[in-house]
Amino acid sequence: MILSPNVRSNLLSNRSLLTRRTVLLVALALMLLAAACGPAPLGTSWPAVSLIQTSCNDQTSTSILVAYNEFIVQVNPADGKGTVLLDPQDCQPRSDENGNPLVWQYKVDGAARQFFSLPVQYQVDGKDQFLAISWDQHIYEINASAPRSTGAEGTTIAGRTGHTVADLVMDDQRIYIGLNSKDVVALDRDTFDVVWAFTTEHGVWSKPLLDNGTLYISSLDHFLYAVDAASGDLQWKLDLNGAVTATPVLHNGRLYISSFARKVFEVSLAGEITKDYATDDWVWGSPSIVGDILYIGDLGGSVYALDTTNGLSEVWKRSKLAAGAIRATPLVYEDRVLVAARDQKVYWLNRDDGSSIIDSEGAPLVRELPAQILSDLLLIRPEDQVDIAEPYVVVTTLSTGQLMAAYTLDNGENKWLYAFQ
Amino acid sequence: MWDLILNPFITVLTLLYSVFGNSAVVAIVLFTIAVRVIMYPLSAQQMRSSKIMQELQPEMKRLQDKYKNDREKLAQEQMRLYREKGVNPLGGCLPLLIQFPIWIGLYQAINHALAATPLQLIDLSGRFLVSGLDQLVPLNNVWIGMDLTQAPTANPSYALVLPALVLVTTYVQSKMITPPQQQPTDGQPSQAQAMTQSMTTVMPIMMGMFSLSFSVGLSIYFIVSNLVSIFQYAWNGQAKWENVFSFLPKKSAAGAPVISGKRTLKAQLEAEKSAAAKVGFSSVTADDVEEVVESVPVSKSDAEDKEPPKSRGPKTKTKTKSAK
Repeated sequence: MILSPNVRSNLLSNRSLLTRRTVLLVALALMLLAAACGPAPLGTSWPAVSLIQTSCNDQTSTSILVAYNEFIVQVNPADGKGTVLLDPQDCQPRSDENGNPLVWQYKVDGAARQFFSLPVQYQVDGKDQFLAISWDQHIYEINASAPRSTGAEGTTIAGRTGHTVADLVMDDQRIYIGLNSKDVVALDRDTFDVVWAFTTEHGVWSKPLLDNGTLYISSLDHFLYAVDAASGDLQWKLDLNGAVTATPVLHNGRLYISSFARKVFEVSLAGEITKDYATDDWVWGSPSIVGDILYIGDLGGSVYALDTTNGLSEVWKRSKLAAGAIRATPLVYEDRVLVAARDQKVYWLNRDDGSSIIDSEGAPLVRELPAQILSDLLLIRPEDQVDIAEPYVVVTTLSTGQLMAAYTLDNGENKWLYAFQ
Repeated sequence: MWDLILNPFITVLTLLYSVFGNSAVVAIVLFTIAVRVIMYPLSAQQMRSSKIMQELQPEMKRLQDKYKNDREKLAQEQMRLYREKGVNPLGGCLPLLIQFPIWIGLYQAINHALAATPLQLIDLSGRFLVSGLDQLVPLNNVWIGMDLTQAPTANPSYALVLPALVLVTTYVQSKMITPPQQQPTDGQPSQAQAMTQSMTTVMPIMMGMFSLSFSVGLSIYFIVSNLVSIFQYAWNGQAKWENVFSFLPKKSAAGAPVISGKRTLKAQLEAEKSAAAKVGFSSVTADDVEEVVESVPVSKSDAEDKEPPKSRGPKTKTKTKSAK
């Protein structure tokens, strides 16, 4: 029998229907699986780092605390190895059944359960604890001697959904948290109940500054707010003409803050701009103020030194020092200023004139890492009860494979590297 | 290099935002429409090229069948056919290749401008080509109670309408541009056709799923983009509404009715037999017709098949030639 192509095609298409449907079902099942896993918010923000001191009986030790993605870890600043857990009874190092030392590490599960804000350290009955908040606004109380959460799922903030990247602030009674959903909430420190909420017009991404009963809040809505910490009542608000992502710095009775208006502002505690200085680009980070000189970088890669005693007059400026944004607060130590940038480099500058420090080979002292640097630099000194002979700078990148690197402040010699295990 | 596309897009998007009452949604809608309209000449060229290639399919199939054992000759004949018809076989690809980075740029511009995360916001610095626009950052991202930077699942429940609309508009768009099923000449089931059929079902569901995870702002972009695309195909006369609405009579590439049930299959076999007899070629017998028809499994559509669909066009060239 000879059949035309049209007829054969129809017959065969009926036969292949089952195969097609099978392929379709498999594809759908795979998609459902992918959708259920959801997109991990990787690339959301950068690691939060700080230097902490914990005690066991009379022993005090210093560690670097890092919160990034699903981990919170402690790292020994002397050698870059994970901080070994101590037995709270005898303060001896703890080890697993194979005799390997146990390191301090806290991990949460779930794609959205990630950390970008810095945990706060506090004490309960003389024991160290940490309070951390995840990107999806779950609060975790973490026992410092045995890093496990008191509640695996954490505690949510009543009536609030959204995200948090701002660092926490805590006083004797309250926890203050800036939320992406426009609010700053004050929570009862014991129950986590909302005591008051203050609403701005946009997200709050920076740590509020608490000083003398007043909470200074920076918002993406362009305003700096002064709020009574006890009641949440507004004291004043000030338009800074651009998004504000920095925590204000208090120095000699004045607030110093920057905004996307490409300006650094000096603000009185009454809420008036007393001086300002125009920068070349948006300013994201907080300034560093040492010896009345304010040091700050902008997102265009320029660095500025401004005199706070002389109307924010320019002491020096390094235009386009870096090829990438400078988000991190410059680190000032003795005669040098260290600046980290998104171009993956750390620059050593002379504090007096901003010129590059020259290394032993006659080249500017610059160290390059394998990933962008947006986190603040950490200064580690021997007097911080760390077993080192000279000060280090610890640089934190966005790469978990080479998360941190320590260099000597003097000549940039690499002392250690740390990767998430 | 990528910034050459992204930076102007972000600038225009923010300009629209500032002109139209600081509404990010209006800016996204207008910007998407504007980009698609500007790219219309490219889209139209692609559609024209696609249409001509569809029309050439019967002839191409004939050549493939004729020279199935001589690939070199087949290639020569195909090129001759292209030359005769004045068609560039890559004519449909080039406009698509040019448009692709534009679409990606549009998507990225919306994603960047909404700046849902610190890394996205920091990445906005230095991207504005008009001074003063950066003072508007971050854009107001709330629209009728929905946060445009958040996924529908993190918004009020009515935000779930958006992924549904993404699914529906993607389905309509992909269905209406799907070429009619070609009849293979080699007796083998067409993998490409099976793939196309699967994709028109899988793609809308995939886009709907993605929209559940992506921000609401991007869902709006997807919907508007699909609607503009549907409009453009309809405007160009290439919208195959019969693919979307099953009650409309279906047509093959050259206008012949598509066989969908036993009755129509039988009708076609009878027609083939008649046509073959006219040219003195009568190998298809009445028994063959019955045998073939009975071998086809009964489907629900057969039960509902009251009469064969009316033909809205002439019989295909392929059919006539196969009878010869």
